[in-house]
Amino acid sequence: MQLSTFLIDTETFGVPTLLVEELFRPQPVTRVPSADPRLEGITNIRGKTAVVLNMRRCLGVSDADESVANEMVLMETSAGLVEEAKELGLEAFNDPVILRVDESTSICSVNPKTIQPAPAHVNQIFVEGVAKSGDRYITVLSITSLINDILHHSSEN
Amino acid sequence: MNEAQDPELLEEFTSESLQGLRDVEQDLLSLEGEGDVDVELVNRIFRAVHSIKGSASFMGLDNLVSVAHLGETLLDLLRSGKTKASGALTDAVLAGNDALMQMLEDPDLGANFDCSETLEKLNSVLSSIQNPSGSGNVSDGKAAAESEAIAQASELVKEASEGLEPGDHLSVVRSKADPRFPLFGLEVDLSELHHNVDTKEGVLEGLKSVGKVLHATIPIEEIDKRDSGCCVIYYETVLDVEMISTHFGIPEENITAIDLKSIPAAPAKEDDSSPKDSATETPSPKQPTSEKNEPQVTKRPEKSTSSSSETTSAAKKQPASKPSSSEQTMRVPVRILEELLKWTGNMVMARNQLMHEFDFSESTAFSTLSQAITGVHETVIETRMATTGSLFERYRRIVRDLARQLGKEIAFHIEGGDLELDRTILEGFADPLTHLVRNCCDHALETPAEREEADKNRQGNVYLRSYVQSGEIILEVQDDGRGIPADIICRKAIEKGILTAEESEKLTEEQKVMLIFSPGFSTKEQATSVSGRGVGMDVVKNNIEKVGGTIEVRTKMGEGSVFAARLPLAKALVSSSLTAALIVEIDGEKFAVPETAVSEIIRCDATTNSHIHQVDGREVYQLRDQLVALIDLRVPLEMAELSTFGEGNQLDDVQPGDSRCLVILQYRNHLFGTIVDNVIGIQEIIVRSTPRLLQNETVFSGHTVLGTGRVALILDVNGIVTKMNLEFIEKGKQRKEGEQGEKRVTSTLSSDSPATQKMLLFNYSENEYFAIPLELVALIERVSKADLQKVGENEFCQFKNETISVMRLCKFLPITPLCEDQSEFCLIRPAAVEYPLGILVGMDTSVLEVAETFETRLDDGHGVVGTFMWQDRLVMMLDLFSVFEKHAPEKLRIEDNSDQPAKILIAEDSLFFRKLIAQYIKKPEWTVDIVNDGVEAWDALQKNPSRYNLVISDINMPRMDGFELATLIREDRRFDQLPLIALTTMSDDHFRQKGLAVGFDRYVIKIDKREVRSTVADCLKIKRNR
Repeated sequence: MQLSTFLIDTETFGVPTLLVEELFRPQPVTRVPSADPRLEGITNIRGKTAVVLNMRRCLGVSDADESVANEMVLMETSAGLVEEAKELGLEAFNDPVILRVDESTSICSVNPKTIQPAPAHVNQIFVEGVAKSGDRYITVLSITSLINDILHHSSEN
Repeated sequence: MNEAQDPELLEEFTSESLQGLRDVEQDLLSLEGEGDVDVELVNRIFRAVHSIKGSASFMGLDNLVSVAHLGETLLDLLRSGKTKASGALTDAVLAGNDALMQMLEDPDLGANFDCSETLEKLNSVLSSIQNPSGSGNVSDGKAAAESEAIAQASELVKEASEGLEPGDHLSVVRSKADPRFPLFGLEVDLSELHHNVDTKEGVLEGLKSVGKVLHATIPIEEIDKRDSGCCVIYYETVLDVEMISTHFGIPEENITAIDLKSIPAAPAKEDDSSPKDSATETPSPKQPTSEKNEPQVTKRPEKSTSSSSETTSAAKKQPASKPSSSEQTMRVPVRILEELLKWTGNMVMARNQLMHEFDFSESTAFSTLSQAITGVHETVIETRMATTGSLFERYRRIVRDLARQLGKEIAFHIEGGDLELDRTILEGFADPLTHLVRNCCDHALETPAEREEADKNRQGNVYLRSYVQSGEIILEVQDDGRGIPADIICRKAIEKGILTAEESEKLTEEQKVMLIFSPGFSTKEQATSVSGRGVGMDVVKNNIEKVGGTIEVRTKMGEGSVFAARLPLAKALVSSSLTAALIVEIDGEKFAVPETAVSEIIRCDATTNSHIHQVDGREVYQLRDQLVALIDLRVPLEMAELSTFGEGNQLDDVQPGDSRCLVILQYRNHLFGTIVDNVIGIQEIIVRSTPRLLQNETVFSGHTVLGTGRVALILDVNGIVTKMNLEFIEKGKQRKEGEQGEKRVTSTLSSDSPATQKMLLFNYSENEYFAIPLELVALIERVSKADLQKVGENEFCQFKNETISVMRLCKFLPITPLCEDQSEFCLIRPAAVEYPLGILVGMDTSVLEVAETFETRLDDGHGVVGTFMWQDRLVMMLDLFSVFEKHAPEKLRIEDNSDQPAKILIAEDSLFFRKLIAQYIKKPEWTVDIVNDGVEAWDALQKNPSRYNLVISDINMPRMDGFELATLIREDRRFDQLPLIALTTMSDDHFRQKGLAVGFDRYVIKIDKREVRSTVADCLKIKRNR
């Protein structure tokens, strides 16, 4: 399975490439301060409206400087998933979602069987597991779980 | 039996037929309403039923056929003028229509239905029409059947190629046809045919020589023998249409190519005993004559049915008939339309962005494109929209039927039916509204007898109404019936355990009425067949809430009730529809506000700032005659707040050219305002729904993409009001209900109760409360202990470059002093006092409206004019002026020199002001008589014309107002010397001119003591010159 990886602070994270639609340079985001802090806001990308998740905030890392470069990762919607993705049991959200990451790094191939479950002391809801590629460890994220958590929180408030 | 079971064909048949039947229902209902039978209308109904019968017969659906047939027969009698549209006839045909619809919706298409009842109904109406008529009927019936046969024949030819309406002819044709040769249907007028044929052999021979005559709608041999009448000849030939036409003189339009494959092989129903079949298959001697009697069948297949209109007297004028609502339709999956809508929405947004980026004013190509884009978008939106009227129309039938069933007379009205919203949302309202309408007819409206007894018109009214207000769509069901008895509802609710007796004490009238929406509630012991038992209202509420709306009810006993369902506009519109919005900027972010929520926009400048006052530390704006709350939108938006609390107005630093604007927003019937950094303008925006992840942000009702490509969120006024906990006070109501204060106040369905007074309530020490009329207050500000400076005995305070003399009430009134530790106070700046003065009071201030019933026993002459109870506290009403006088006697002492005794008559209906004025002009030499209104004043004057030296009168009084009184006085010569003073509150100033015109000598503001006293003194001195 291919993983698209990106850097947040010093750690490398990955999501299945089949779930990623596109990478692009940051574009203006309309802020929504009253929403969950992890939600930076919303933006318009070629006619589609996507909610922007600030991955640093999601992972509890302090906000980066304005000047530090970052990138945007546009995730696939469930309507846009290819057969292969569905066969692998990968899930996507119905609406477009964008992740703001520090830097996107390479695509790695990993054997799904070698992905280990999240370690016991890592409490994040959305860490699916840890994969090894070469001598690097990549934390595999489940964006749908992250989204569900945000939905859950906002409905509570 | 069953090529006819081709599912697609069946689908087509059922959906087309159902549509047709719905139109029939509407047409039947409008038929009832008219005096003369609208022939075109009846024709339309006839055609629809007829066509269904045909298809049903092909499909072998006997039940459908029998019902349709009887219906058709009745309709035919109607259109040929042989009977009138009676209630019974319409009932029967409507019943037949209903049965047909039911059968069509059944999976078996009614194969197992028992239609005997419906058939009974139709038959009995039929025989009651036919029997009295006598002999002429049989042949008439046959003639009607004949014309119908011919009509059908023509239709057959037209429809034949579409394969939709075969009949026995076509099946015969099919059985004889040779697939190798082209087949035509020739509609011929026999009289013309004979003329045009060159050969002497006769038409048949001619035809046979170049082709094969398969079949005709009249016996083939007869074609040559008859020289008038029409028929259809089914002809196989290798000639093409043009050649046939020239050779035989048949107009090309009458030659139709028939596709053999499209003729389904239905078994001929020869054994059917329908009159039509027997007429065509067993020609009887009667036929030629009846055929001759029929005027010509028109040649054009499409107009074949106008033959029927011509059998009725040609002289009958066709009244203008409504256009048929069934146009050509097509079935399309909804998903495709939604996709389409998304794309066109994007197109519009992209176009807007382009216009923002480049200047296209020179390009005609662009403006064409732009128009096309808007056009496409709007057309697509139309597919998803439906009018509220289209929903409301359905209830016409329901109301009619219910009225008949219940023996009531009910008129049905639709208002504002042009409002368009998303079809699916509208459907969501269908069930709840149906229930409300049924309830209305059943419970709310009285019988004619009851209504007469109650002095109402016999006929009750049901109104279905829709309109837009402050960003919401409102659908209302209103009746002028009994009204909903709040107390009975409440009692029932307690009985059913929905709430306890104690809880019910706290409820307002409205809240009690809203109890009907509680689950398990129903006031009728017996479930009526009409509205059922207790499942109703809470389901209605749930269904409405499911589509995102809310429901409320207003009622007045004896007058009726209104049920209003409200839905935020953004939810009601189709996603991607265009709406007008005001784009504003706050802290660099742009937001859209629906235009319907914007009441006014005011540019901010120094004048604006001067209209901003502070009440309880919050800003209010004086908008003409009301005070409007100013809120900071940054609060609900959770952006960094402006903090000007206690530091003056946010506009204190306004300069000319400041881009800030004050936007007045509308929430239902109330207004509130906010100041934004910039107003970009009003734009047509594409409304898109809020992304799922942001759906809990109730202040937004959606989003849009602006020309700049940035996303702007659309603000929802309702959401803002809720989030900020803004409580708007209805006129005549208190903020906190259910406590002592409520007893003082009347709240009605309509508007103001006259005898209330707006007061400012404040506390001094912990538990002592005072009130003064709000008109006496110019400003309330917060001050802290540090701001107060003592100079000898006096205290002062600096405020906006002014030095204000601060007064403590405890110095002049026997009340507890302010607490020493208190660090913050409020300072009341009184109006109509020229001297800069402030009254130091406690922090608890509010505005209330009270009815004027207060105790006056505590009138101690020191400044307390009266008292009243407010939320279990004793509130003392102050006469500020007497207190002022004590505070700064040298500044405020009223001087007057007249020591003459005088008798003064005062007419004033407000209890408070009576006391106040009396206090103001208290002087040992002056005797004051006070009356309530103009009538009493006039009476007093009449009784003792020479008693009074001066009359002071209020303007607004019941029974007789000030102007009338003045006019009366001036007309009476005895009072020529009597000075008249008019009392007014500040807002009545424009009456000044009128007052002087009717004869008042002076015009005085009620609350200004100095002015009152000096005017009185003046008037007593002067001698009136008449």
